[in-house]
Amino acid sequence: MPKLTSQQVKDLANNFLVLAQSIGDFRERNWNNLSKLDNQRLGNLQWSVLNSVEDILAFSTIIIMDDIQGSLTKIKKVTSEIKTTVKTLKDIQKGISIAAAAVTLGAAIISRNPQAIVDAIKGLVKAVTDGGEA
Amino acid sequence: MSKFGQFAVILTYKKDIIMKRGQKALVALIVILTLSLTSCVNLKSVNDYSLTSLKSIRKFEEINYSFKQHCIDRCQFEAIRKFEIKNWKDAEKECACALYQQADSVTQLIYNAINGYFEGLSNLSNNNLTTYNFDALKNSLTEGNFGNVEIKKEQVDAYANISKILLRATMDLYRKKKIKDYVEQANEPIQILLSTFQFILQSNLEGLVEVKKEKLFSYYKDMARNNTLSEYEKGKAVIDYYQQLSDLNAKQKQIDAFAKGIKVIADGHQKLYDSRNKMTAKELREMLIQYASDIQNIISEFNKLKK
Repeated sequence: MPKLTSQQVKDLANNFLVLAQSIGDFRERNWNNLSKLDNQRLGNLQWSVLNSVEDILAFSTIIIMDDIQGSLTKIKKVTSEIKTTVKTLKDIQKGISIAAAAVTLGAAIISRNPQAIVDAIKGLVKAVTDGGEA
Repeated sequence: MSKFGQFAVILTYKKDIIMKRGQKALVALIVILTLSLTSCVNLKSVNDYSLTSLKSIRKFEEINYSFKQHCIDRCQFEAIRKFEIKNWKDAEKECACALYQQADSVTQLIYNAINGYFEGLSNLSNNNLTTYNFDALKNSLTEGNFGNVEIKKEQVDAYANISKILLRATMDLYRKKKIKDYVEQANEPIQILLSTFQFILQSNLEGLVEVKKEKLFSYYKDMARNNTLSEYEKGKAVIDYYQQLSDLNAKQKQIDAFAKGIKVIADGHQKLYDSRNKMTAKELREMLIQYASDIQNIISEFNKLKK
């Protein structure tokens, strides 16, 4: 037997809602003709049908999972790829900072200034560890 | 030809080469600048659209109504109808709301996926992403000692600025290509997820509110016919009914406004997909601006209903 779709289940809920409204209308029209007990029974029946409508609506939402599983997987894959691209573009700043620190170190070595070399090494380490904050 | 004549010809020839090279470089720079500027404009349109969409999607968290909440409310209403006073320690457990909780989980899963995608798209199209800081490079060049080689400050600035423009232009073209690829891959699944999200909210969640209205009507109608109540008590019950009905109508309108926003977001993404190969087109830019503005109007409508 083919599975019910969420739309079909939703349509079923609508039919149940119409049924509950019809029971309510019937009670209304026959209020004076119905015994107190029958009236109460019909009232409870209407309430039960309305509870069923609510359950069916919740169920219609749950079975949607079967229809969207593939779409969820695809969109998660695209989102993950976007995040990787964004990270790559952010890493370029890190690359620039590391390059700048390396140039400073090169200049310090040429200048043969020990303190400048030590500072430049510190700068390079910071650029590598900070990730582009230099 | 005299030596002077030969020299003059060589000089003219070299001048021509230099001029041609200069012209080529100028043309290349103009092309890069043009590409950079057009990239910026269109990436900005995509960014405006995706940011506004994201803002609208996140309004879901402000709806303040869920399947589980409805289940607990119904359980309490049932107790009120039967005049039952229960000593509930945990209403969720007492009311057996597992089915409703599961429905919320499905809705949340879809929301998270849509939210994640638009967050990624807005991050990728954000121009700050490729606004690189070259100050460190400038400083390292000016501060360095390169022996006999003298580098003037203007040269360093010019080099850094050109690098910045070139890198920006290259990266913007790269981002545009990536956005085109991602929009292409994402359109089909995002359309399904957005329409499903809209269906859950407009049909199922709003449907639950409709049932609640039906129950209220039945409950208060019975009360109005109850001969044991005084006229004053009946009048009070009618006031209660209209107050609750008004709250439920407002809730339905709020969910509806949110769902309308989802539809506009879906239409905007479809247009973006349809025009993905002409991302520099003026029409696309104008269309996306229009979608962003429509979504913004729906956000305002939603905010008004929230009050």
